[in-house]
Amino acid sequence: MKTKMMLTFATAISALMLSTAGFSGDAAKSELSGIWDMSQFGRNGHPRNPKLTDVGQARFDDFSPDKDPNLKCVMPGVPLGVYDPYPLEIIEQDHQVVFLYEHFHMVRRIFLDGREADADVPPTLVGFSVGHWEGDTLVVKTTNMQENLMWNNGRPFSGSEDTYMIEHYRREGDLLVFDATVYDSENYEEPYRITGQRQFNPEGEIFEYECYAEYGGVE
Amino acid sequence: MQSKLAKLLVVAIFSCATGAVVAHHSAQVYFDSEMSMTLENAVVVSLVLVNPHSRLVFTVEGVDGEFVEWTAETQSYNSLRRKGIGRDLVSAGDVVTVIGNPSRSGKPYLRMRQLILPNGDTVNFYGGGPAITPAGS
Repeated sequence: MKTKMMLTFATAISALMLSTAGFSGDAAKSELSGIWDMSQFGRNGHPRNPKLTDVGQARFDDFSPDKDPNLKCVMPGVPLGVYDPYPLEIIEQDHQVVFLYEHFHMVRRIFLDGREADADVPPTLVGFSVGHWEGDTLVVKTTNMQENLMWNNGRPFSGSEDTYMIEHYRREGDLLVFDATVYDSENYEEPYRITGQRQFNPEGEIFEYECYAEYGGVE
Repeated sequence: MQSKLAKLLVVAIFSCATGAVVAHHSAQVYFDSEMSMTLENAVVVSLVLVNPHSRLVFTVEGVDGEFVEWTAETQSYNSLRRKGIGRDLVSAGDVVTVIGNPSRSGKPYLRMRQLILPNGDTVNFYGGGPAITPAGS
């Protein structure tokens, strides 16, 4: 009982620190905090006809729906989850910017404190992200991403050691304007560029997204 | 079973120029987005509101008089929740009309785009418009 109370207290303190820390930075850095909806802007932020390498084309041709990780309730990770239809909550702190995606409860931490990826850690679904501010634009570099999809229509992402992704996030009024350029020379002849917008929703909520693989629809 | 299904599909399906359908979860692979089918007098068995896809199970009487159980897949519960759609939408035994894209597999499975409720209201599961179109409008 005592342990449970201490845990609850610790959780409450952590939540309080998380909710207030964003206001301790300078004004420019707090522009991205809040809940951002995607839905009314559609989803077509991917290039129409990216030039695939022979290897990439073979992987694309080999795709079948049963290989879509989302249908098995595996979170999209990145790059796949960069362009996502569900709301995103951004929380800014001095040492990191936290991206809380409703979809699959995906969490990304964009470290601003100069830390580097641990070379002993194998690639992961969300990779390792560091960021910095260029004026009012958050610039993010992500490495250590594992093999994944670029888009769930079967476009591949190799997760090769030299792959990386550069993202920009900037607020324009009530819009969050973003782009992501993925460097995956194993699968694509040119860098793969994703663009998108989100709408600020101060009344928005992030819902629980529990996922049941048996309802994935793979017949 | 196969021939029964085939007969039912012949009765229920009509061609529809739906235009491009935005892909989600590789839906274009599972379902024929260029075809629309309407299943009338569908008797609701259950409605499960979950992620990644909600599911309506219902039965429809085939041309030979036998009942076939169908499964209709639709939006995630989180998407439906934002549209104001909850578990009070239908009850077991309700007689409804189900409209959607048939499965490419030929199985009694479809992607449900609209549902006409017993009171005549139409539920629109996809698109940015209102979730419910009142009967007669």
